[in-house]
Amino acid sequence: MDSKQKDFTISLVLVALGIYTTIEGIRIYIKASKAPYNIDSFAISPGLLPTILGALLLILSLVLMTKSLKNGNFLIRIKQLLTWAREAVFDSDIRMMVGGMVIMGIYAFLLIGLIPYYLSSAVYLASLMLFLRASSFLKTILVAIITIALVILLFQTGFNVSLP
Amino acid sequence: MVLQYLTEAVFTVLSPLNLLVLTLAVGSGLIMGMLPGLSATMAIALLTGLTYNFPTQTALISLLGVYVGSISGGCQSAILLNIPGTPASAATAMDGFPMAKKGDGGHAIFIATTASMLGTLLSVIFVLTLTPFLTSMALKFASWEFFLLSIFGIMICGALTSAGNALKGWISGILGLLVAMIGLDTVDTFARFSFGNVNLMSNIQLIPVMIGLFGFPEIVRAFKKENEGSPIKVSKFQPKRGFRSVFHNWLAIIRSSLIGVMVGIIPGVGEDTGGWLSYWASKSQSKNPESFGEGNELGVISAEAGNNACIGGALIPVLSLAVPGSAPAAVLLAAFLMHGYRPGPLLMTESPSFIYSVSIYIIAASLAMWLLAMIIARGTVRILGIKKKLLMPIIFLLCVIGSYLINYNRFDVKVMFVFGLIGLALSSADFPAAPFLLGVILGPMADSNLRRGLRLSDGSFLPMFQRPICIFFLIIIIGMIFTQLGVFSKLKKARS
Amino acid sequence: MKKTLAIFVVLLLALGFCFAQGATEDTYPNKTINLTVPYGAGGTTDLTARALANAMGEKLGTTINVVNTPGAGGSAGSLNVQNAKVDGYTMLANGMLAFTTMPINGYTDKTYRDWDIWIATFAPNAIIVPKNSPYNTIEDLIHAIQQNPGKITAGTAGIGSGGHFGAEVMKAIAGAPYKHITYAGGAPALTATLAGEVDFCPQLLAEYKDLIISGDVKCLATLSDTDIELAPGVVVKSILHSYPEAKKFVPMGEVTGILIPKGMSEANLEKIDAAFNYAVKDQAFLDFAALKSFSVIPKDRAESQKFLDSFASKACYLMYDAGAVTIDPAKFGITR
Repeated sequence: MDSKQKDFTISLVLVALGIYTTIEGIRIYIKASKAPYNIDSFAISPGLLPTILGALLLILSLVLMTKSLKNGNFLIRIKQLLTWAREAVFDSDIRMMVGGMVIMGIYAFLLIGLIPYYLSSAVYLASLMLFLRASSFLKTILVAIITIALVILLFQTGFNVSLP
Repeated sequence: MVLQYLTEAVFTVLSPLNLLVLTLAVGSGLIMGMLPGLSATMAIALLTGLTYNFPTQTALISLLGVYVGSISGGCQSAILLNIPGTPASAATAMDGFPMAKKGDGGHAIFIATTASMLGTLLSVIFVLTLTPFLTSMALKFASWEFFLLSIFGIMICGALTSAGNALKGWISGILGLLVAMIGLDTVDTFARFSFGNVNLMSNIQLIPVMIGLFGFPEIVRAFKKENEGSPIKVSKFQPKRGFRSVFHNWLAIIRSSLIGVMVGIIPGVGEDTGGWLSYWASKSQSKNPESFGEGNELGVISAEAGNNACIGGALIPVLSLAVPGSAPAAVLLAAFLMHGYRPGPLLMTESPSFIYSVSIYIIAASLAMWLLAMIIARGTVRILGIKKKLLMPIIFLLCVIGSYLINYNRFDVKVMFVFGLIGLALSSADFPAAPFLLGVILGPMADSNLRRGLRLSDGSFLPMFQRPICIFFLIIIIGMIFTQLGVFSKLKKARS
Repeated sequence: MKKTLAIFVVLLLALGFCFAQGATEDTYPNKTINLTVPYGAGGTTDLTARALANAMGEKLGTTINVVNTPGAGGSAGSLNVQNAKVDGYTMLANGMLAFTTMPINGYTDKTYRDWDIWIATFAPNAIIVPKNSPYNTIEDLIHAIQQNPGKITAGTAGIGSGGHFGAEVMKAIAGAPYKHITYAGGAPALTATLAGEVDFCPQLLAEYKDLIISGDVKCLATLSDTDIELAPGVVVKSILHSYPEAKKFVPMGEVTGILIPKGMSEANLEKIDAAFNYAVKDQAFLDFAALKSFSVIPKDRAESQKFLDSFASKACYLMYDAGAVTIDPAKFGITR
């Protein structure tokens, strides 16, 4: 993806976000003008800044989009985006990054809280390092255990805080 | 009298027990500052509980030591990993990380640490000499000034961080402001963008956002193949070269410290903003501003002197009004009260020696910080030598802990992950993360002060154009927009 | 070799697992307790909580960590504790004004009756004005509110804060509305008063005691039922001298205590009882209270509930009658 194509892709998302925020800002104003808040002036409504920011975001991201369309129109850009997405699935770097993020995500969303902290962390560390082929199996396990031990020592004994 | 107070304080610090406590406090402050997520505020809050039963002077020394240490420690992770250890050192990463990539990490840490120490020392001199005058300055800031200051800060940061194209920086700043809108607002307690979720209602926490935005992309990027090669070379410390760099930029250090003190005094704005403003000032004064962001020493020096000078600045309103100038100073105020001091207007009559002992303790702490940081840095620069694929999973582990500890809430870990994905998307499209972070920091201030100002004036914007400080900010903001649009260069062309 | 190591690791982890499980079933408390303060550090609630936490931790034989979770007028942190596991390791320290009015603000359906509460201190409100304000007596201010309804500004720490209640008392006496300007906490509201941005500030006396003594602000009256001597020669007059009809509102002020959602075993609650009784007699805590002009009014669990029956009624109906909330307190069984 070249930088213009990146700008285009992200401006698509930003325009959508800008529209949503502006509408939501106005909805906040309408809701706040009723009981129990009864704030009937827009200037002091909690919807004021969200509406302004939403509109600003919309304007700025439209500027960004027009700039990114200098060579190539809207439809061509969309087509390029789809081709890129198809190719990305086979890109080894992207696969590595996504795979790593999935392991991190499972750890952050599921493992913590499900099983004791040191166990979840050890499982996470070892599996991510193995996935990345960072080192040999033996060394990886050792590094994981030593790290967890050090972390628990530092935080629980040293700083006296309780971990998740 | 004054001399007597000062010498007494010096002797207190030099007693063996206090020296030991000072070393331990500064050292743990440095480490907490380095670890992403363990902020200065938290370091002091944790220590306040521990020092409750210490003798008063020893407790004061340890609290101030941890404050100075944690604000200064953040620069090392910012320089070495591009992950600021505290929000305060985000500006340091701008030039510090490029320096490290060039193999100059050791030198960058040396000048950053030295600038930190000098910034702290200079700010103490301001505390000692200018407290009454500066206090009255702080009271000049009312709702409209706060609003414009926050907008000004975000716009500066947006323009600074996106090389040549402020549009992306400003969009990033707006996104940050929007994140700050999530939750119950401080004026009417109206739930915005919260979808009935209690965790969202209590606002998005700053620290998980910071870790996500800065740490996550660095971690994930290390998974790429290209990182399998040899790690970056590590430069040795060259004290002579370091001192020469610092000495060469003495004017920038004084200027940055002054800005830092001013920012520190203003209640609610602290170290996070101080670094950016002094970075901006140095860049706009520089003869070759385009070298900033590419590894300019001056950028590192200004950012670090600026954020450390906030320490003294933030203490001024604590001592004279019992109103804290920044978040860590608020915890410090609580700690002072716990130990039986009553900072505020009666301080000078009730315990006249207090302000002098505090100053001496900060000076001692900053000297100790310099020494310890140099020792610790000898170990930390080796981080650059560790294989990224082995290091980054561990860094993520620390990121999770940092996010969790801020409120002891697992929801914040999820917040960190989500903002990590956002940060990855933004950084791969060359959107800077720093304005986003500053938007989250200053968003509540911008929102509540704008509406408070409008409520006070019954919905009229007129007062914004009638107050001198407001007009000053407005002129700079408009000037900045015109520069970015190229109005000035067009005018020059039209004339010639 | 690899296999042996793997088995060894699994065994080690399993052993640690059993050990950790065993530890949590041990007697309460066996680890650090988190005391949530739903406001920023340095405020009145925070300082009281820290002083209490230290002494209580001593008695319980563990550390009590104060965790500040500011946001949403204190309701965010309170709800966090309400939703957390009730194991005695998550406690709340809160002011009772904001806490007892949470249901009528629509934040939760649970009332103070669903919590075990230990009340520790009382801090009265005081009405202050800037040094150069035209108002020199409480009558001046009340007249000004009556003559300019909705124009005189009051700076408080937010909706449902101690200051908001103080301002509502002023409104009830004057029979005319004021203009409510909210700040992110007591300290910013005080700074705004010093800077003259608002006409008066009805927060807690403890927050600006020293500024009154030094003459940086003028104190017009306290909403306590007696006069309070801050320093030799500096006496703050009770509002009852000027407006005896305010009798039904005073003493108005913040009552602070420790709270845990109901559901803990009686044996563990008694341990906290003992720690609380020890803490409120602790010399460091008493010194701290004297420094800040708090009255220490220790109440055990039963007394606290009884006290809150009348306190909650006063607080909720003051807000309801003023039109600040629309949910009828009677819905939660809070009667006049």
